[in-house]
Amino acid sequence: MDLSGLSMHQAPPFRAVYRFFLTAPVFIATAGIYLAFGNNSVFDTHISSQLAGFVHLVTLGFLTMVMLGALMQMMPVMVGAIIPRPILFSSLVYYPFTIGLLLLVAGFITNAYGVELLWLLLTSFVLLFFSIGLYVITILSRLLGFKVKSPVLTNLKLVVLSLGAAASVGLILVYGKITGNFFAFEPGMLSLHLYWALAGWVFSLINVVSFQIVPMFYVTPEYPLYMKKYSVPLIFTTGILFTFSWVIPETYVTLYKTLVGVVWAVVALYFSTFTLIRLSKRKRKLPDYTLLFWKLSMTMLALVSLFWIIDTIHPLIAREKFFLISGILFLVGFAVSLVNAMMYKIIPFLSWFHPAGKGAMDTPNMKEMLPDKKIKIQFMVFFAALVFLLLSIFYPAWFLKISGSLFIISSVLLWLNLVACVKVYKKYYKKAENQNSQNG
Amino acid sequence: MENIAQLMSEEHKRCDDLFTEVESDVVDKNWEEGSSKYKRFMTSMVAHLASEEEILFPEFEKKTGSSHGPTSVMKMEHEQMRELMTQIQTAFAEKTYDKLAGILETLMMLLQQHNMKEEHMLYPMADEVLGENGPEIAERLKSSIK
Repeated sequence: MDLSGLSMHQAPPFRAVYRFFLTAPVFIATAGIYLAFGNNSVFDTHISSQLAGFVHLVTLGFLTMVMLGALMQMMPVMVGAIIPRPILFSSLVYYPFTIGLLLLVAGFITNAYGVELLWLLLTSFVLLFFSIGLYVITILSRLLGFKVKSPVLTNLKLVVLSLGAAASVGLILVYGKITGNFFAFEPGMLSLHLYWALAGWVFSLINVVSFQIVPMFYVTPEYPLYMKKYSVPLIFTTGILFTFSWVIPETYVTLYKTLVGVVWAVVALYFSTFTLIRLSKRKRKLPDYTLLFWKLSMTMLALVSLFWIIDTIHPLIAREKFFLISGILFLVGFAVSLVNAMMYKIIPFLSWFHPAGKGAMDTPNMKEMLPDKKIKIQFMVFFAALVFLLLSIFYPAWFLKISGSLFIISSVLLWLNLVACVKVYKKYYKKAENQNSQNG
Repeated sequence: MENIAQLMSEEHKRCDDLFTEVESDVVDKNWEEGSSKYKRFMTSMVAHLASEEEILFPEFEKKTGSSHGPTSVMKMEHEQMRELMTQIQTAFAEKTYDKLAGILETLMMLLQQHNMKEEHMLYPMADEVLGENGPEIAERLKSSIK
């Protein structure tokens, strides 16, 4: 049996991944600053450079930033795949990604104020494409090395491919921007970009990760095999069919788009309800405040998918508001809360695990470095920020600044909580290393 | 007949259940009850870890020809578990809720990620490399745990 490439180490080294986790809250804070100090017009329409700036701070700056690190961390545990030269790989992904993202957002914002700085978008795209491309190709090549077939392997491959697809369609959109009219460029392309980024990457990856971590972190029964086997491939196949929908006659395109939306919404509704039931049946009685984030996240996902399904049958609200509400429920309500919760498990655990593995058994335990109370306080601020954000779709002049300010506070608290753990890690890891070297 | 993966995964589940019972008592501050349930959990855990280290891992290492592979990482994590289990005993004696809750949470995470690696990778690999000796080794594991 070939054991090469199979490792049960908690590879990679912690510093290769925590830089992603500690940078992510900074981007949400930036999104908060954008709302709090902007001119209140970010939600004027559902397609604008201003909104695109805000959305990318959330999707790339927070969600993707964390996921890039988390996936590196979880691949060894999930499938036994390790990435060679993890520190170098992490740097080659992290720096171009962070700088590229800053330039992209700067490009959107300056554009919203009527300044055309195409070189910003162009440079940002070179950097982002390099970073994401390197990531996708490296992870795929590691995963393709496994001959064994398992749902988690297949799902991971599809999810990473979706990230590649989202980035590629993004490139086409930027090309459209540079050569001519920005968002007048083929509206179908924007839908494709959204589908691959939100359904193919964010939603599917959260599925794959949940299948692994809900039973593990919350000690619930495993998800049933049919969910693990079919939900992500279904979302992916729908994406492929959607991508090639230009071959079908134009009269059917609207119907077809509706179907794509409904497939996604039904999978999401099933997943969220199922997870909520599972979490409510968890056996552990020890209080766990990360569950507040999970329950909020799954409730928001259930709400947005239900909203989507009902609206398809019977349109409820003006299109612009519909997309804005759906977008915020999905991105901030569902995805940001979940990623926030995930970090609260992974970072304290690894901050304990690495030094303890080196022999520093006096490392403070998870709750000592991150007390329950701190999680609870950050949750309340985050929840308030979300509520005001939803309200500001209707009353931007009243609520955008409040929501933005709350997001700034929430992200600062999150950042401080995470930094406290990493500080413990640094102190005790160093101590253990010194002791080990003294003992020869 | 049960293979190694099935048998040992069942064992993990059994230990998890014992562990959640301990946690419930700690939450309700039933120190006496909790402490005696904790002893039961520890006995099961100690037997489980020993069966792996004395039977399963040596057989696995003989077949794969390496004692520096996955089994060495598993053994290192076993050490971390033993250390935390001793800390829990002390915390029970001191009846300090916060300390106890923190170590229980940390041990639970350590156990769960460890179990996942064993159940998804090590045990299926063991069943594969041990081939026809597998069922016999499973029997030996079973009698050493009970």
